[in-house]
Amino acid sequence: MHEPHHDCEGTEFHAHLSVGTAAEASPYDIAAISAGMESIGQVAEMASVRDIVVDNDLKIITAPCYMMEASVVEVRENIKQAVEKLISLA
Amino acid sequence: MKKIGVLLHGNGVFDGSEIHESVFTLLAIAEAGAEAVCFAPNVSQHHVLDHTTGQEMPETRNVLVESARIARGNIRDIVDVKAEDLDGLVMPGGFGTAKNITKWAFEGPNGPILDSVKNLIIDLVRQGKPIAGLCMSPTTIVKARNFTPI
Repeated sequence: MHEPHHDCEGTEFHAHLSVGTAAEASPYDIAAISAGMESIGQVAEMASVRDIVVDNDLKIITAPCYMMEASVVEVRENIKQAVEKLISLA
Repeated sequence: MKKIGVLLHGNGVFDGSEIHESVFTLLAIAEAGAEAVCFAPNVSQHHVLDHTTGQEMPETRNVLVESARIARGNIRDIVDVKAEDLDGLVMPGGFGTAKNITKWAFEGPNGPILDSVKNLIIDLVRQGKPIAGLCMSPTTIVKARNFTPI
């Protein structure tokens, strides 16, 4: 006889998000951090400091910012993009 | 006016909130005509790092007290914040998110997460309110689906 399966009161979710891309320069091991997120059931997208990733179902927006080798101007623009998207969904 | 939460976790990239990202978050929220609501966990930092050398310093600091520097004193303890009070949440990066909120920096994806942060993220998702995770903060968002208390 099997135990009933609970989905932890509906709190499990599987988001699409990003901590950066392994295809451009980063001070960090983007591939390893992305693999860590995937190991707990999430989908890690590759994105540069010029990109944001939007999970429209969960309304989760991610922006790599200083996970990448980025200038202060690029980080400012990346955050502006993410916050404008956030507020449009709020 | 929309109220957007800003989750801080210290003051300085290597042991707390990334300062540039935190300030640009506050700037972008204000430019969009919304109101920022800053809060942080009232817990001790995992450690304190000298940002000139990266070496650990022999002292303890409180995450809420350090975060208050970025918020110019206008900050709340996260345990006093409910998802109902907010229209959305921004989570600036810096390693405080992976040292003071989760322990991802040391234990990877299987480490714990603070209950207060986990519960706020879950409540916002359930209420259909948006969350923006900057830099390293996506690792904290994904930990909200894990049930190990810190």
